[in-house]
Amino acid sequence: MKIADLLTPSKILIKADPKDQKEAIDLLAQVQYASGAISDLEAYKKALWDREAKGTTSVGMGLAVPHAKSEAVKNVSLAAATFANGVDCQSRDGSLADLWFMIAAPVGSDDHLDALAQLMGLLMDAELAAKLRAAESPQAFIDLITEAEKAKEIRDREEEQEAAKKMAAKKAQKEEEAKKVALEKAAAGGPEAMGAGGGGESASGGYRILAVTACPTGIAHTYMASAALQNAGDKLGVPIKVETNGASGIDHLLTEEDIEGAEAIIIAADKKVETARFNGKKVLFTKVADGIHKPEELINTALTGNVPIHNEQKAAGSGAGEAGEAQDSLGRTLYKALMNGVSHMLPFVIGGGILIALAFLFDDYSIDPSSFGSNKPFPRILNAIGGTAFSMMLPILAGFIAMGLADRPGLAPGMVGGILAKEGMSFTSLISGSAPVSGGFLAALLAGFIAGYSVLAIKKLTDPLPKSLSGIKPVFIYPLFGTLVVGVIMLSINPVMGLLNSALTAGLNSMGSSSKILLGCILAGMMSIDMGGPFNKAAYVFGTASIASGNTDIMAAVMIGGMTPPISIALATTFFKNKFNEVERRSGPVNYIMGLCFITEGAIPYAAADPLRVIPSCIAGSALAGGLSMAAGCTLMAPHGGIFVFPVVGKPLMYLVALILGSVLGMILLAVLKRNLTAEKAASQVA
Amino acid sequence: MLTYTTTVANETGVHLRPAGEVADALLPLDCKASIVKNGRSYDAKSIMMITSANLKYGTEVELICDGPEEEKAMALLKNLIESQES
Repeated sequence: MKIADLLTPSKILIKADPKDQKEAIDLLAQVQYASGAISDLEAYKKALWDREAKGTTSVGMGLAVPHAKSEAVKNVSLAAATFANGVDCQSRDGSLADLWFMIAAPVGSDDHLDALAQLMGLLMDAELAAKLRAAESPQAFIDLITEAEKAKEIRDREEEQEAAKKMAAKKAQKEEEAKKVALEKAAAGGPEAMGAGGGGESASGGYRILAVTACPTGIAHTYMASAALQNAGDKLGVPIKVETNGASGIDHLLTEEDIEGAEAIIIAADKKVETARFNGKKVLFTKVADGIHKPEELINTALTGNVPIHNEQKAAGSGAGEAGEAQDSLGRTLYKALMNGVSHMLPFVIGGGILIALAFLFDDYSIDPSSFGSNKPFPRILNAIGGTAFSMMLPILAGFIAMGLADRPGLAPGMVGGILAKEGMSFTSLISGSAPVSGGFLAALLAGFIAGYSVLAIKKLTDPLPKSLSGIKPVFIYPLFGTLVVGVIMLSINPVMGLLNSALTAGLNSMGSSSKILLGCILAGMMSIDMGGPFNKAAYVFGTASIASGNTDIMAAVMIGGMTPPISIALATTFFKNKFNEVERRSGPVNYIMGLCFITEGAIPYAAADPLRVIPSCIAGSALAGGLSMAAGCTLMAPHGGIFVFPVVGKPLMYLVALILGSVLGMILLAVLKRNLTAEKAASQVA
Repeated sequence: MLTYTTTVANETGVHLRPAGEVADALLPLDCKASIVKNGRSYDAKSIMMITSANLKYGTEVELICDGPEEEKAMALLKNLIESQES
């Protein structure tokens, strides 16, 4: 707001000579009225005096700024006057007021505050005040103000820039300090626990790009994608911070400050991650595999591409996450929900499975074969604890599948559906008392999806409800109707699922040895096809599902299939050095560890560099190992753990033999298929 | 030195009368008092300075008081900025 714009010569009195404050106010109010800004002179005057009664508007240094907001004012207006002799207005410094500005403001506007601020900013300059007092004509008065405002504008702009610079310097200093602290911390904390997890510097401060990586298992892909993005960021000169949502929890958590300052966020995840915090930011959703294979492309797209602004409501009950996943195909939505369920279920299966397997290990089969596993007190205790963990795996699976689809409101209906599926309750079993037949893993899967979509449907149906009722949705409507709907559906389909499950289990159990070996070959081979992708996960889920139905030999074949590829590659890099470049050779030994830990993903860099030769070799090795494991009748109660669960493997010696033979076959094929590299090529970086 | 970051709570903003009252109350205190808005500092002992800062509802400001009576001054300033009565 410019003061000069508010003034016209007719609104300025020069060297007037009122005898007291009342006359002065009357005089200026009359000028305001004459300018047409006031509809009711008496009402305006009354407002002015009311204001004076609350405290003088004479601010000192001979300056008075009487002002009033009133219904009688039509538009913001300013009148000014210089007095030949100052009048007493009980000013705060005792000075007589001889420079007057009278402000009229309509109700409901705070323009007068702007005007007042601008006036004060100008009149603090005592020199200007003196010049104004000496002005000989209204036009000279206005010219002085115009000039002063121009100068002030320039000054303000300079000061603003100065202030911005100061603030930036302050911020930079703070960042510098934070970096120092982080570096010291890093130095004290020692190296990262996991080689692949080196991504994500903890130094905070202006990250242009943030990323979140997550995979269903959360032990390898998550960290490989993190490392790849970090490296790409370094290479492109883009400061990046990567949060890893792994099995061990969240590392390098993105802070609110990080999010505030970032230009875009990349979500490279195959399971649900918390995304409501990114509201209002550009968020690029993609697969974790893209984070590993094309990190630079992702960063460039995030920075320059047409990435939609993320927007989801945080409130429980509203369709959080829908916005972000709107572009997902149905298949991918189902896959993500399934993986959400599987990743939450795994700890239960691992804990329960190993404890139960230990119970068998310590028990004496000969005491009572029918209750093997709980014949002696110690195994009985292990068995009880493990069994409890095991009994929760299906409800957890169903609950988190539903949560993956419908967010928190899906959890309760999903878990209830999962238990109904596990118990195999049906209308007939409840009414006539016939024995329920468990629907097993398949029914629990179905229960999860039914619950998720039921809750989504209920959300849609309750959308038209008035806003005032939205509070009771998550605490009443979703839990009640969601659970009821799922319950009714599960009770109706459980008999069918029970039959199906029994047939499947019986089928697997009665499978002839040759077809079992074939099954082992196929499943183990699938583990190697994409090393963590859909084939791998399909085989893996089938393996864990088989534990639930008691076919533990399948899990054994699946795990061995996943352990073989990294070991094959490690062996090849050890014995056929000339087939690999320097980087590949150096990271070779890590693959022994990866393989023994059942982290198939260790083989990915090698497979990605030379897929046509590496993948078939790995598949062959895995298939052999899986087939041998099946043929030997090896069993495994634990769905993960690699070498660490070998003590609980049934027939561990044969299992080890199968692993070695499979790995050696993989190595030999690699040696035959891969070409020798020339010396100079061997020293070059991995593509 | 005391510093405090807050936002103007009065819906009509900080206008002349409260600004004058605070400036008057601060004047005899043995300490410096200023209001920082957008990185620019305004002397809180001057009604004109405070008014020229154009402190509207929701404006974020940093209050800085420095001197023996800084606590008294800060209390006055906080009251000016955070008071909701007009």
